[in-house]
Amino acid sequence: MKGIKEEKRILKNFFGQKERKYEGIEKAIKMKPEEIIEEVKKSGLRGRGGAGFPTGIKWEFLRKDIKPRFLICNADEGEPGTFKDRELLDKAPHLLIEGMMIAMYAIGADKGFIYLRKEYNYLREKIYFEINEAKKFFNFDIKVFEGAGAYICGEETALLESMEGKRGEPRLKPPYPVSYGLLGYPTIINNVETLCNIPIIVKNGWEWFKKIGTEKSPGTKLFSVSGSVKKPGVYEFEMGKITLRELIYDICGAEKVIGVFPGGISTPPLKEDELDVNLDFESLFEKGSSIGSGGVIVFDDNIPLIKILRKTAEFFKNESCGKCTPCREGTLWLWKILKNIEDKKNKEEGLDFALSICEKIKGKCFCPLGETCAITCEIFIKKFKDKIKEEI
Amino acid sequence: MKEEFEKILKEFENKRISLLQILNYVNDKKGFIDEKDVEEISEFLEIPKNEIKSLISFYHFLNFNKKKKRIYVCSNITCLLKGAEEIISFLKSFPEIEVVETECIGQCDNAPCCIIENKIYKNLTKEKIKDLIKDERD
Repeated sequence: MKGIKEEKRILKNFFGQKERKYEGIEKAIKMKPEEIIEEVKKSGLRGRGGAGFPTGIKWEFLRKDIKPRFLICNADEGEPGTFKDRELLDKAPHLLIEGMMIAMYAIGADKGFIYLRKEYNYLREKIYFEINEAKKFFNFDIKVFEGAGAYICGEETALLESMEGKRGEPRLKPPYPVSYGLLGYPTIINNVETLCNIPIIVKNGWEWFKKIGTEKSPGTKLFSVSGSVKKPGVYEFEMGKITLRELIYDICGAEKVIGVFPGGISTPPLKEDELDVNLDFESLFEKGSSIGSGGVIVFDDNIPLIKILRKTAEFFKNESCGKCTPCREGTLWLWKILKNIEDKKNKEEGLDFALSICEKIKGKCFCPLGETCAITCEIFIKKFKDKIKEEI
Repeated sequence: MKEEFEKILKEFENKRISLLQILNYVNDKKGFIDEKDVEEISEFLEIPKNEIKSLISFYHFLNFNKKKKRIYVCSNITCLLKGAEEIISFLKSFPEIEVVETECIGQCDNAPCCIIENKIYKNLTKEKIKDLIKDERD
């Protein structure tokens, strides 16, 4: 992982802890579980999976009157352009295991699972090695559960269905997993990066953590940059202390940029002239996009824009679970229309037709998958309409 | 295989949770799952055969019945930007493998990339593919 100028780097966070020191967990077991939850709550840590829900509050919501309780680490990182969790699992699995141990102690979980996507199968042994190392000192139960290839299983209720040996179709919420999760028992589901932050917060205290980043988005964030840049990779920065423009031009060496997906293709793209935006939850939200998973995809005119747009729709069409009609049929039709435009058929009304389909998907889907497809494609078309028309 | 099933069930302590892990195990071992396996798993876990088959059809990495050796090539945006289309059409010229265009496999910093039997191949070029196919033939 690479960073930025020394003064902006938070080396203490992910980089400083190369060895297993277990300082976080050592401190945690001397505290009461409620005190740890309070600490995480005060730190203001927000989930790093995309939605940004405050982690401490999620932990507090867990139903306490039922046993067993579960902790699941969501390592089903499927968002195109995102590979930050892979880097953590590869380079700092001890942080994840330590974070999970602390979380399990804090919420009183009997068992922990890591839902590892099938594509990361090669990291499985590394994780088990780390679990066995930690078992020499601590008593806990964490197992790696392997997915079998389905983007939708990154959605937490679909993940639960998948673990229960079913098709990964999202559940109706409420009830939320905190009260009705795995096998019907209270379950907390956290992202890899979120859990890796826990040992550092516990070790250094919430005041220390709160000073990093912005008021509403404390801490650091990992960004995985890929696409039309010279130096793709995973970079860590303080939240809100760097702009998207700095990241892709100064740090990653982009030369020609047409647009950027700031947080994977589920987040609406930004045009070149919109890149002066700070990288934190609020700033990107104001720009009508989202920090998402931190998967920054930079694209230039190396390939036609219509191809990128078609691929975006195609991705959601392929990964739609098929449970609800607006998503299953809508993404299919959207893809068909865009494919036709790409193949030089129906050039004239094609884009407007596609926009009308987006309108029909929006607000009608069961889970965010169809929703994000419609919004991303709609904004993509609106922002790049002239350029696409030029191409075709 | 039964012994392995027992081991997985013992590890996950629940028949439902063990199901996908057992399917993964069989699929990794043989490269596919057939009618006989489904029957065996169904009997072992007391889960209907239809349900198991519906799972196999849902997940990208599970295959029903024997097919050619599968190669999963990423065809998502980053890989497209890095020339995945050419790589995919080149791969398709080898009749002994089945090319499956898959979605992002999380190796965007090393695009284009593919997976063969859980192994990741990065920064693909035509040369690399030729070597890869040659190794597979041997």
